[in-house]
Amino acid sequence: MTSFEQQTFTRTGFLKGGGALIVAMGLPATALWPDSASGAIGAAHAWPTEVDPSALGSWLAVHADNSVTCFTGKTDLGQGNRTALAQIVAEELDVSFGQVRMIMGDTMRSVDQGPTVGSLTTALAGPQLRQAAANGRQALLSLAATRLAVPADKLTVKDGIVSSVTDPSKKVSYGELVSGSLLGVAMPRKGKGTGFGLSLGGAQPKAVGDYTVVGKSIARVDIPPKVTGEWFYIQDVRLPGMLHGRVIRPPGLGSQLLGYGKPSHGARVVRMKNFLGVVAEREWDAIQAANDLKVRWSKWAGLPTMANLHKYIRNTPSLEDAVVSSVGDAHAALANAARPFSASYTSALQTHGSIGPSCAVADVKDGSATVWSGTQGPNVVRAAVADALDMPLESVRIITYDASGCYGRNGSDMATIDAALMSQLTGRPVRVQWMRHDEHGWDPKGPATVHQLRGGLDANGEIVGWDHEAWIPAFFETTVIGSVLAGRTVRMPSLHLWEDPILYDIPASRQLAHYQGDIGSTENNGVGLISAWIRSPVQLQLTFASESFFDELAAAAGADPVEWRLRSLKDPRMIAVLEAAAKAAKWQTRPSPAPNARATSGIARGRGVATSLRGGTYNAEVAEVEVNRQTGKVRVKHVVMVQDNGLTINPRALKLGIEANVVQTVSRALMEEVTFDRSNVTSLDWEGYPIIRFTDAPTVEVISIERPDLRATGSGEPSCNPIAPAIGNAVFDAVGVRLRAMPMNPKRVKAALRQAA
Amino acid sequence: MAIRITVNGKRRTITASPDTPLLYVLRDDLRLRGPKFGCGLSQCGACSVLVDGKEIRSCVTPVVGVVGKRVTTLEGLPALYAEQKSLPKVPALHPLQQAWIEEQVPQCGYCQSGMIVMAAELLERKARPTDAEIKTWMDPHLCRCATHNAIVRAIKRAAKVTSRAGQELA
Repeated sequence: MTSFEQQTFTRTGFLKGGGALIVAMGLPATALWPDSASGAIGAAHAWPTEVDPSALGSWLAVHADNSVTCFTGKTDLGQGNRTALAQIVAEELDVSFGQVRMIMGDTMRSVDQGPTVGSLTTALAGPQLRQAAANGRQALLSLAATRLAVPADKLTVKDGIVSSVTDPSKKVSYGELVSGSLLGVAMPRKGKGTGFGLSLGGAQPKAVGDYTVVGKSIARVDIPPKVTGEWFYIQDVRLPGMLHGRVIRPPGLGSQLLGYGKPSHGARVVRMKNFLGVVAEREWDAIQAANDLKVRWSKWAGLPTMANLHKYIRNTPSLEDAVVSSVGDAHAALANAARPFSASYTSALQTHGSIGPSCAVADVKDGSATVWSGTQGPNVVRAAVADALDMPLESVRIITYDASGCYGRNGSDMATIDAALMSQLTGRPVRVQWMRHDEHGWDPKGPATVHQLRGGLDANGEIVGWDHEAWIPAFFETTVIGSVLAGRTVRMPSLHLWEDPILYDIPASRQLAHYQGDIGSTENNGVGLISAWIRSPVQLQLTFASESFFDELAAAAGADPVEWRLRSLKDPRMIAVLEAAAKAAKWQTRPSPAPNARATSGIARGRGVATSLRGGTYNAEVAEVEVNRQTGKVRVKHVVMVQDNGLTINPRALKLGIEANVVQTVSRALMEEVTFDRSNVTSLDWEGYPIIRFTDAPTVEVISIERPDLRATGSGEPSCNPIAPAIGNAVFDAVGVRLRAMPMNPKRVKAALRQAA
Repeated sequence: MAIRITVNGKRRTITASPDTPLLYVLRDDLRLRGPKFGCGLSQCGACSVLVDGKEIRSCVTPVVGVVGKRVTTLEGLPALYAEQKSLPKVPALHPLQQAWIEEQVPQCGYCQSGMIVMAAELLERKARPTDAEIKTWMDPHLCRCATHNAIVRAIKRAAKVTSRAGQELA
């Protein structure tokens, strides 16, 4: 036996092990499955502060019927994590895919693996589950070796049936092995990392070459119930005795509640300082009462004007400045360049725009809180609820259900706090669903950014210097609006980062970040237009600026945009994706703009290219566009997207996810801009904030470069990064004008065409 | 007041004020999970259901307005299809639902009930719609995950089945 086995299979180990690998004491597998909220309601509870990651039973339960339940702290935001993670577990345990059931994001039952963000689930949570499952398989094999009197290395496993290699009649199922016993298995932890950084040791996982489940396009388990109406979303959770709640938000970010009238429709007003809402037995009554309630608020008008937004961002003192990267002396290189260039780029505020407004149900009573949430980060929200309700962490349990797609931190976490506060104030379970104007108005906004790019060419047209200075949000934390209004301000961890590595071989370069506060925060005691990243955190904006400006230099050098990139790329994986994209798009080598770009009427056509690298995932995109010179409307006709994310868990789910991500990002690149006045957001519905529709959606060809020998990196959102610059570069190719502001809407295109004329 | 409506072939009596939008009756009283609240403004289509075979937005349709009519939600599509095509028994899935699975359409899936309902009316009107006809027909419905292309593929796939199953309609 290895030392790991000795450590975990001693008698003491059996008795001391914190978690159960096995749950077989008459408890059917279904007892663990959260198909409805009803089974989970209880009286006051104290829950563990942490589900112990080093106990195998925290991850896996094997049932007498030979099925397996896997517990994960991750949630599924609609991209199929549930299926992909189950594939990883089935693979390592040597059970069939159908034998694995996932329980996701329940703070009482699942290990904190970090919030489900940044396309990090298969990249970081995947290896954690893989290791736990490998350890589970090893533990079960050891039991089987004893039971069958066959050495473990002479055993084989298929579909959870362990049998002797030499005598297949000697066999036993996982379920039989564990029946009636409670087995504690401790797993060694590597380092002290938690959440994303949690690292487990133990048995050697399978070699990639032996995979039979991972790498297969297994149909997603959530899809059949989603098309029959059986799927249980957070919006479907109902509790006995539950009230329906609706929030009533202030007209200005800093407005104070001065008074309110009598509620209609038999509703009750709930109020805590500026936190205001209504509750009613019936949902429609709550909605009408919220609409009808006469409320007096003080005026507040501290936001900059929209026209002045980017100047405001650039001129507001930053919270932190950081040189993100520096090679050589960029300042000197640019000063001495034969041909220096400079351009500023901007991006607009955008909304996550979930089709289903955020929803949560809270049951706060007897000093404890059970909260059903559509959050990406159950453990993060757990701490926030505890803070907002002034309760210890052990008194709060978060149970997540799938929500409407969020693409980042939408209103889910905020609605969760709203429900918790309303339940605490009423003493009843409360379901809060935001209305459309709440979601469009108060979901944390994808931030607006400003970029100053400088570049220089030498006399031969080679790049000698590069500088990217960006005013981007600091996002040290995200403020929760309900808690602010209630006077119990809760701040949740956010993503403070710069991610846009310089891909090209440039002798001198610098990237300089000015990390800014939320817009209006200095004018409103630190709480401005609350913002949070929409996929892909910070890089959508940074890559729009850098890959567009790189194209400007290519045009200045008279170079073909693909050749120009290939000339200074060194990373073979990046070269491979770019070459694959150019080939699939039948890229014709010539500099931009196209020969007929400066015609003055009609539809112009162009093609553009861009690349990006995020968290080890390589992307290259070619966009084909049409530009209507009269209306200024840009239509993206076709996109070729090539991605190399190392090992792919589920190729078909990956391609479909990328295809959708591409179309969504085309919408953001061309159309989407939150409008606001001096008081607050004014784009409060789908007319004020249009998104792409069927007739404008481009066709997409997704090409995945398979590298099963390399670790899986982020698969979903990295592909959004090259889209906006590829479109802008294609517009330049088509009409010869450079678009330096996102979204590239008809108004901006027409203005750019006029200016160039 | 007590209101009698017919939903998915069943007569149901509910107690609600007559101006209550149908959506809340379907979700809160009848506990159907297909139709979803999306905007309450008739802008997105997440709440779409069929009333006498035509797609409507249940978030702005007063429940009293469907009295004496037949409401079909996502859940009732297989039975409606069996009736439309005079099938001997109700299939487990409407061909659109089957196609949605085969094409692995949904990402989050929140809008898809409305999408499938909308497509069901299309395939009753037009046996084999072109891509352009599908896109124009579906244009009033929003999908934020942006599964538009997969939806078009699924409708075309389903049309192959539905067009064979019954007589061509106008």
